[in-house]
Amino acid sequence: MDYDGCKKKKRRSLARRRNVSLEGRKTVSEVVIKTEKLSKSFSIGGKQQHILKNLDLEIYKGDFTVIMGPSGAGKSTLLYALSGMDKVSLGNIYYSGENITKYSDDRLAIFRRKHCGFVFQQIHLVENMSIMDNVISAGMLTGQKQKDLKDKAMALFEQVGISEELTKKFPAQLSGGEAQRAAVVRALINDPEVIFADEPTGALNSAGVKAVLDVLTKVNQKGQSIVMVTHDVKSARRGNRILYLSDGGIVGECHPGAYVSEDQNRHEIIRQFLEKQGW
Amino acid sequence: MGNLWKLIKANARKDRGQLALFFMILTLAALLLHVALIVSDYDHVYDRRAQKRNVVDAVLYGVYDKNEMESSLLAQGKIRSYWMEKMILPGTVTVNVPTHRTGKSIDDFAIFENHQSDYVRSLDFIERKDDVSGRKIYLNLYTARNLGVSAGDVMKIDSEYFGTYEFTVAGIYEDLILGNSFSYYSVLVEPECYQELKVTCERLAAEKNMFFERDFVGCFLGGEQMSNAEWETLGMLNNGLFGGWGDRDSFKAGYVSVVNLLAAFMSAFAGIIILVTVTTIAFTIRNNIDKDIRNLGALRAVGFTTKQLRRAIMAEFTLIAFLATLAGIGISFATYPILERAYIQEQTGMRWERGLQISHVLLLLAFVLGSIVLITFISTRKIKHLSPATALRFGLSSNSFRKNYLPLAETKGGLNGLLALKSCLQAKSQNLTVFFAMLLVAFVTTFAAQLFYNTQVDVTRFQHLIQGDVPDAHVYFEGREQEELSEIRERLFEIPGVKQVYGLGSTSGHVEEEAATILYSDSCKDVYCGLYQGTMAMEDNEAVVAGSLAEKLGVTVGDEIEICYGEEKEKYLITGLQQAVYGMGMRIYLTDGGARRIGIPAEFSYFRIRLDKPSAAEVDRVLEQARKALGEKCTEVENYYRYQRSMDNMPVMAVSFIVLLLVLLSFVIAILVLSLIIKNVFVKREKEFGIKKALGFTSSQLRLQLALSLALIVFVAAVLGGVLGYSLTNPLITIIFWGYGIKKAELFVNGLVAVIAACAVVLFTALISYIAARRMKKVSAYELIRE
Repeated sequence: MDYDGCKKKKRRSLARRRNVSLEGRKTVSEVVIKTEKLSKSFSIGGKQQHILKNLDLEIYKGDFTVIMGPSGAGKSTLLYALSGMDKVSLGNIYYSGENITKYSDDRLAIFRRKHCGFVFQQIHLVENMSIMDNVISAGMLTGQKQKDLKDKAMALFEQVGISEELTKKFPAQLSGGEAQRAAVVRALINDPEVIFADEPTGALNSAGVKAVLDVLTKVNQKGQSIVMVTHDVKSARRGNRILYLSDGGIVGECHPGAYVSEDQNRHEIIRQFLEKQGW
Repeated sequence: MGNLWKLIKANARKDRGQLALFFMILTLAALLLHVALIVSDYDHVYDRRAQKRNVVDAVLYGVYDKNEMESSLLAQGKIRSYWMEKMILPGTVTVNVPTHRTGKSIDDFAIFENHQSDYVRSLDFIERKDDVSGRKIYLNLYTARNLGVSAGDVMKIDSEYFGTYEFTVAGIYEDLILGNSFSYYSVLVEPECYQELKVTCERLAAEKNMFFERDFVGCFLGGEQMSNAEWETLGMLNNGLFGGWGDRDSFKAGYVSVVNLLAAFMSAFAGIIILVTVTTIAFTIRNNIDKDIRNLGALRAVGFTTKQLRRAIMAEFTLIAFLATLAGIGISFATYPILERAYIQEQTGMRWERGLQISHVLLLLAFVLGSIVLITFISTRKIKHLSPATALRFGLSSNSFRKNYLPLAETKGGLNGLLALKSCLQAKSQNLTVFFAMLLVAFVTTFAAQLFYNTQVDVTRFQHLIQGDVPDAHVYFEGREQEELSEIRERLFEIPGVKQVYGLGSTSGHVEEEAATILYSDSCKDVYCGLYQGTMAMEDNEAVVAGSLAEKLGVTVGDEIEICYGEEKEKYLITGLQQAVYGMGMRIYLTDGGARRIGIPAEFSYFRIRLDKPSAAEVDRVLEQARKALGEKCTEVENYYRYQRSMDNMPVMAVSFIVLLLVLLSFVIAILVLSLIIKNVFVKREKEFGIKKALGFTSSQLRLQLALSLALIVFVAAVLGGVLGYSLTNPLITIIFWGYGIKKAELFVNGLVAVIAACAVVLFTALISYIAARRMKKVSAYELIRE
């Protein structure tokens, strides 16, 4: 069964546009996600709280987009709205030209399994399944064969530094860093167009943080689009595009260039950008 | 204390959905138990009222010369005092009341005079409208409720002997001697009316050599006991026409036996409900602990002791149980008068002693709270040695998954089925609780369904259980001579479709020193007496004895007993043991020849008939032909097959009504318990479902996985519950009716009914799990994960 319309409808041609960054960098990028006047409100104690307000945004293919902002700015809300995991109150989200805001709950689920990968702060591996089963079950959702999936998963595990022995264990038997790297493998198993990462290093120690960021950087360097929400400047340095969200809208954007290694110049550009935003 | 209260409030807020379901289930259980307690209290109510209203210790009725009877009563040293009253027994009458479209035919109708007498003074008027116009009549409560009339209503009584009389109901009274399903539809009429009826009846009596008026003698024994023989001697005084006698215990049995049966049924059901509830509570607590382990760890980290945490959980459930018990008691107290007016008064002929019995409340609270405290104490042992660090870092679940069943990379099969099976295999403790709860639900559903079948679809076996021998038809006739009887029997046998024709009579006698009903038949092989051991009495020196009576006497098959009737006594060999609720297990069966050995006339005024293929229409046809075949000799016929299945059939209908209520109740309970279990499972796995939904599982897939993960265990439990219900229905009925003389119940146990009940449980579980998991569809993956 296929609900996402990819096969039923003629896919609209991918939008291509010339983008001029705030720093004047000129690039030709393929737009993967585009929002139009995106708004999201919650009713808290009977009072409406407007988290996102008429937000227009484009996410480009191959970018490592980092979303930063103060607490309560709506970073995670934006991430989950972009990934089709949460419904929006108003506005539209186009994914490779397809408007996903009108999708039903089940159609969104099928959309997510094919196009999105997720890495959460709390890791969220299914506790009663082994690491390997966590990955394989996600893969089986897209109809891949178990044998092929196992080979593919093993290759990905190897890339992120998880031994075969560890793949047989349950999530609670792994360290936080190991579990989060396993979660990255789960996010990659279906070759998603975008990986959405919500504070992926928030619950890890410094060794874990580096390991996870290295994995994400490595996959991005191979062309994987990533959208990551973070509070951590060190994590933000891995992005080639940093968006600053405040009061329900994008108030600043920075393009420090592709990450190659930790260098002082890159650090300085980001620091100044954040300072300018009131970080 | 303050902290504990805060914890309880926080827990209650979090678990409010589950607590609401518990509250409902426990309220229903408490309601049922409280009604059972109220109903079982009629026994004591009877004693208290009989004492207060100076009700006689025994009555004797027949036709006597007043002076001779009085001198004999005075001469009987054991009788302290007495009163004598007259009553008219007009035979069968037809009563027309506004609530019945057709007239109600009543065989045992008794008319008393409303005058200043000891008997009338012992009556307690509960409704009175002395100013009604027309001819006044006062009815006992049983009569009034069965006829569905109230004070002020008009009723017509039609008798072939005194014609049609129209009365206005001027009052309703409670009569503790003649006012239940085992005695008479007794009424009081004004003295002038009584005299008028008496004169009419006496005129007829002289013509037809019949007796319509009887003496009704009430005796106070002052603590003495009189034997059956002494009563019979007194009753047959001077060749008087002895009607019978009865003591206070036998009157009381008539008032309370049906409600005691109901109380036994209700208690059994309530007990099962409590068992299901405590199982579900254990399951819920274990689930909640698993789910909230990190919160508990955090509380431990900030200084709460495990004792405090356990106390908070125990207090939360105990508080709910306490409130539910009070609610159940409150609801039953408030609604019982409705049930009583609509139904119970019709069975007991007594009014409920309105008032909350503190002993009942305390008993119920002790039972329910005791069960809940015990189960919560056991269930919270899991956190007795909870280390905050372990709880915060890993939870308890980290230790639960020792083996990875059905690794996906190596196991063939569909994703949904495999994941459901994995969940099922990994949740052993959950499976055990779900299994036990579902087993009980399936058992109670099957048991209720079997009872439903026996009381609503095919009442034959249930009727046997209550009554013993049950024919399809009665044919009454004139003529008592052996030759005449043989001729009648032959003619009846010639009617196509007739399988058995036999006479069955009864009288009072005693076995050894125990009073008993003696039944005799001219064709014992045709009599169904509820034989559960040995064989039927076929020879004149053989007897079949009720199991309860045999137990009392310490005899069994193969032993000899002495049976007495009046002054005559003979030894009989016990060939079998029997059972039936009527007569409270104090019966013996003899051949007609055996009855004659001790001077019982053993005559028959009617034959019982059984057909090959009975149906109401078939019985009508046979009876029509019987009338034609016997001509004037046939005085009356009765379609007993139809009666058995009619609303007039007490107490089978009484029990069937309650069974119907209990079936509905178990249905409601089953739904509530299933909802609770599914809710628990869903709550426990909510986060897992959220993660899966985020990864791209659709709501339908997750709902299917949830249903499938429970399906196997529910299926096994339902099948086993069905099998247990199938095989334990009769043993359970035996236990319920044990005190009524039933030693081995033999109700229909229908395999198809068990299969339907088990299937219903499985289907309901699937349906409810699907409905309960609708939240999965409503809530976004993001929200599920956040929760």
